[in-house]
Amino acid sequence: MLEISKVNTFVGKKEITKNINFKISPGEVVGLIGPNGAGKTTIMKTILGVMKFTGQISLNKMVVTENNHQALSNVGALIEHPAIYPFLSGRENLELYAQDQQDCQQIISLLQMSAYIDNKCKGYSLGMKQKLGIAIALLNNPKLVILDEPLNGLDVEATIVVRKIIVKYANAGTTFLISSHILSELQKVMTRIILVNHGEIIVDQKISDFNRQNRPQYQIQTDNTELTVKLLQEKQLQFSRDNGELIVKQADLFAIQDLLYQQRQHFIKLTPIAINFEQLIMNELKRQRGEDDAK
Amino acid sequence: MRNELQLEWYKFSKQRLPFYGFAALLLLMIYSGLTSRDGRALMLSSFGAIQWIPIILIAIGSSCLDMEYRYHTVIMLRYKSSNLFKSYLAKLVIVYLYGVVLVFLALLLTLLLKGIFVGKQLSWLVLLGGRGSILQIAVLNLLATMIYLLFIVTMAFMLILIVKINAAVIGISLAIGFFGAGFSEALIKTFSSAANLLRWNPLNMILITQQLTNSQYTQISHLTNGEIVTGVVGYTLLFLLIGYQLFKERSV
Ligand SMILES: Nc1ncnc2c1ncn2[C@@H]1O[C@H](COP(=O)(O)OP(=O)(O)OP(=O)(O)O)[C@@H](O)[C@H]1O
Ligand SMILES: [Mg+2]
Repeated sequence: MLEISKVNTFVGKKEITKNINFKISPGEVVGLIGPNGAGKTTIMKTILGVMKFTGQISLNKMVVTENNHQALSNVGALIEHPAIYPFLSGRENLELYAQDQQDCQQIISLLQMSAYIDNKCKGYSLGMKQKLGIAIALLNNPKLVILDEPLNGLDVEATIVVRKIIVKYANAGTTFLISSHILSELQKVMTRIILVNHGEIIVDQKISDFNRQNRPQYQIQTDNTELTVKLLQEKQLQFSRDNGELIVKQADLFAIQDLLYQQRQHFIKLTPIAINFEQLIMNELKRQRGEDDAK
Repeated sequence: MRNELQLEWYKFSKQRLPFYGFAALLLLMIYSGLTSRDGRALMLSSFGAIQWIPIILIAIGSSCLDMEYRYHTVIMLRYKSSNLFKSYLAKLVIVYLYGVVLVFLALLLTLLLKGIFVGKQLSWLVLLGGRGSILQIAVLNLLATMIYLLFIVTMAFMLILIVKINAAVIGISLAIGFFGAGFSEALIKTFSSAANLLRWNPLNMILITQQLTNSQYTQISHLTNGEIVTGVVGYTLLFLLIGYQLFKERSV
């Protein structure tokens, strides 16, 4: 539904993003990840047709340019800061953009904002404003929702609410492009990861592929470490050893099962070590830095 | 365009700003009444309103556009807009219409304040040598101010997009309001050889608020009535185009 090809974005003469290419299908939840200043917000703004760019962006086959925003009529967005007029109430802010009242009310209840929605936004807390910003992005049954740091300032409960809404909408076919530094949260909803650094995409993968490539690690405890080490070496499994503690890396579960079976009388415990998503991202960034240095 | 106008009107009317504008006009007109002994001049200038309204409108106009950046709403305005020029124009139109309301308010207040500060000794119907009655001239001056407000509103929007700081724009507007005409006059006098060109300088246009009813001003402005109206309209279009371009280019 969203196709971006060879997009370079400029601020003045300065090139902020380089050769951005990706396609998103309906219902995908794409996590846009990258260090501060990587260009995530810029990519989002470019899609919204408010930046100078070269290349092509199309939404449902309609082209988006700086001057033609027709295709954006069913795109909802929250970019950096919630766009809120403080002299209006939350409801009035929503009504500025809402095509129908019922939709408005539904989103208010969904985000649990009824208690304060009719107060002037001047008095809203950070999280209340943020929720209102998300509400605005969800108005009018958008086909594509772009959320830039949507969890900024949200409490635990609100975070869960927003996560559930994203999943619900995505299941109904809404496409999401979400940037966040809170990887653990993003991990729970995204179906695809796009990693950006220095204005370039360095990883673009389905989350299942990304996880498969970065297999989990297992800690194995036995009362015969030497035997286990021997078996691991035979099977050519990567592992690290710290006294009695053996950690198998990048192994698939079948190989490990096999191994355990062969030394079943010594086996004590197998503990999967969850993927550390942050570490993976850091590794990718480091790898790219290495490549850049090599050039 | 109707949608854009409705949206801008809604946002404008929900703010306190318009009321501050009304209050400021009232206070400034009273101030003029208190500080001037020249009843006739007070009546002709609607208690200074022809000078005060442009200043008030610059402050309000620039703040109206500036708020979109302050509240981060400009990105919504920009991406949701199918025609950015219409959005920009709609905002201008609403502020301008507010200026027109200020003009009518000034007329009402003048009729009221005249009773208080000038009293009965000078009648609205006194004729001023061939130019019409004081009332007629005062009304015409206000109408001329309405034309000048086109220049003012487009300039306010352009200025806030250039300097980006509301307080600075208000400062500039005060300077223009108080010293603009004098500065322009001095400029033309000093460089009299270039008067033909300098008479078209934007500061000179402020004289439209008085010149149309008092031909003596042509000697100061060096422009005929037709020329000064053309100048005001020309600058309005120029400011409109420059302002829109800046609005479009400014990063959100
Ligand atoms: N208006 C601007 N003028 C100059 N440079 C800009 C402008 N906007 C963005 N940039 C530059 O573009 C780069 C990308 O910025 P962007 O805001 O897209 O980063 P980001 O990935 O969203 O970062 P963050 O995680 O901090 O939000 C940065 O190096 C920034 O300095
Ligand atoms: Mg950002």
